[in-house]
Amino acid sequence: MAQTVVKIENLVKRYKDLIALDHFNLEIEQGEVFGLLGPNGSGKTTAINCLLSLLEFDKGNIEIFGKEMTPESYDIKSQIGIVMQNVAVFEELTVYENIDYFCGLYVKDKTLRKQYVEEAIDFVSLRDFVKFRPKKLSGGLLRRLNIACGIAHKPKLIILDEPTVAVDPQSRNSILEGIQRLNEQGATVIYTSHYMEEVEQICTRIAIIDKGKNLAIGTKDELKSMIKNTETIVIETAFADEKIIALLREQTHIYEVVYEDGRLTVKCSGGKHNLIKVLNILRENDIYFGKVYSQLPTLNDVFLEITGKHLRDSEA
Amino acid sequence: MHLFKIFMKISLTKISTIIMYMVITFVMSVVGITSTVENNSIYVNTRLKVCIVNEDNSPESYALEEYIATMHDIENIETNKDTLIDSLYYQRVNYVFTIKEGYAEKLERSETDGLFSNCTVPGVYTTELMDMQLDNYVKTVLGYKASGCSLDEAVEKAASALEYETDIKMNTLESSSNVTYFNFLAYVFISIMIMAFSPVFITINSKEIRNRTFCSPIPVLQQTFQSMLGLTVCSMAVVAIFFIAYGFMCSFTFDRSYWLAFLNGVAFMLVAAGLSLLVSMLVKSPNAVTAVANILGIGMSFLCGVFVPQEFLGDEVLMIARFLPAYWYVKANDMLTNTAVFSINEYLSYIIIELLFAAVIFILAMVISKVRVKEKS
Repeated sequence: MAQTVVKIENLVKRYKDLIALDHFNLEIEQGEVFGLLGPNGSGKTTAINCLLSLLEFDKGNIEIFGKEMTPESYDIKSQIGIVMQNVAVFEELTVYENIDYFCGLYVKDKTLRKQYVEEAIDFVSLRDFVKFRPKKLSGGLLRRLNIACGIAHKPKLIILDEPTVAVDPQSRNSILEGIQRLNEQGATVIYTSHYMEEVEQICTRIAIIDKGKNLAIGTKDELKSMIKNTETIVIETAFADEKIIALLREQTHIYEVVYEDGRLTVKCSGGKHNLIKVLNILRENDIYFGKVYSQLPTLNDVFLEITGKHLRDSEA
Repeated sequence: MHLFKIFMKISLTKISTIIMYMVITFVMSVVGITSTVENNSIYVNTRLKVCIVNEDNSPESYALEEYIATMHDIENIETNKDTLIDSLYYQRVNYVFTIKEGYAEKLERSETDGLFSNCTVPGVYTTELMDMQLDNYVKTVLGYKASGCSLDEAVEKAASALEYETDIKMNTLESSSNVTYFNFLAYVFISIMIMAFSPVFITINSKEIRNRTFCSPIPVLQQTFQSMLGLTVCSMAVVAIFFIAYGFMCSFTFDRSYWLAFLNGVAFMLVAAGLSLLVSMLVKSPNAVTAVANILGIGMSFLCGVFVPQEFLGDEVLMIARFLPAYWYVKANDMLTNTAVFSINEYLSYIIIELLFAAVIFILAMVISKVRVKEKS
């Protein structure tokens, strides 16, 4: 049985009248890449800050590596790597000096530290920029430097708080691949994001958070199985009257049909060969159609069904 | 000592600010010292161009002529009225002086009225000197005569008594230039510490870096200790640079005044270091630091007598200045120039007041820091 690395029980954090975390629970096991998914303001960063003792909380209990986490838990802190949402580097130091400084907070041995810093530089592919100061780096490179500073000391638990915000797609892929490699090397990873694609791509388990509450936890398949929708079929057609919509709604596994702006959207729950069945009905009724898409449910669908709102809508 | 090293490393990036202020200070000090030396050389009596018309022609009147010749330049010109007036007008002579007939007889009778007559250019105050000297001479002669000397003896003794000349030298010749330098250091220390080290603290205490460092296994107390150690080392380095530089300028004459000034400088540096920390707590952007440094540095310097001597400042200004540390720094420095009023106890009390200011500023900065952290939690 895998060891529990992080255990959060009944965590409550209030900012005056606002409840940022409302009896929040979480359990993360060793070797996981655990995703905290939620819109901006859902409580992800607050949870992370409480976890790191950067914030005092009103109620609850936090354990890391089986020990209670307090601001003075230096033995626990020495095993954690943190990559903050906002880039935390010194503008006055070079890339190398920055990584060396943050690694040096954990590793006293100079030779070992040098080796770790070199490895971190290679890990984030910043070899060509070691003498650059952060001001000279692009947003993506800066994020990579931020990650290198957080992971250089080879921590057992790595917490990444939205590390890909404002990063170009190429750098984003590089960062995500890096996180997977860290996990392969044995690190447990907590990854917070409001980008569901990223979470889907790298996380072995996901918690969906909103308004400080943990709404659902599971693997992506487990989460998707929690909702009614199993397939969404979108058909471009110039004509779809009430008769055909009613006919489609009568089908066993179809629970929602909407025709809007020349697109017929059919949502299915369970069943097999739903797409063929729908297309056959259209053909039988002489409905001509153009492009056809079939989409499996996403985490956004999960979030939508659980909360009644889209992940991205909530950002606004 | 990882944080200490990083403090030093970031501080080194601010070295240009320190060098800039060093250059400004040294240039101003060299100019100050040079001008002080020129202006404060030994006092020399003004020598007038004097024309003497001797109507008495007595040994006593000749003795007077000789006495005057020791102090002034005697011009031999024709003694007719027109020539004398022309000579005065064209400043060939400054003072035309007539020893009236019967001068010796009147002295014998100890009379002082009508001994001389003179002719000068109206409104020239230097001729007052001549009047004073003649008056002094006559009084001295009559003084000796009154003590029982004959007139001949009295004239002789008066001449020899008056020939002693006292060299007048500004008793603050060297120390006034020292004080100009040391007082100016108040402005320099405040400016350097705020401009160079407040940005270092702003960087280290920025939310992101502080949180990141807080997540490390280094205890908070040790983090604070290492930062403070960095500040102390940098502060003392700045003090050392300026006092060693002064040593170079003054050929390494490290007397008691030098070490007392050094002690005063260290105390004031602690105030400046505290201010740099306090400013970093109150100012969010490193760009705003320059403005704050100028306001604090120049403002305090003007109010407390760094640029203008405290004697020239009004009572109201000095009353306000008492609540500023630079006032006590300058007061202590000024005391070094006047050995007559120097008291070691008083001097040390000024330094203690500065240290109290430093302690209050540091405590204030710590309290603000604590409150901020608490608010964020």
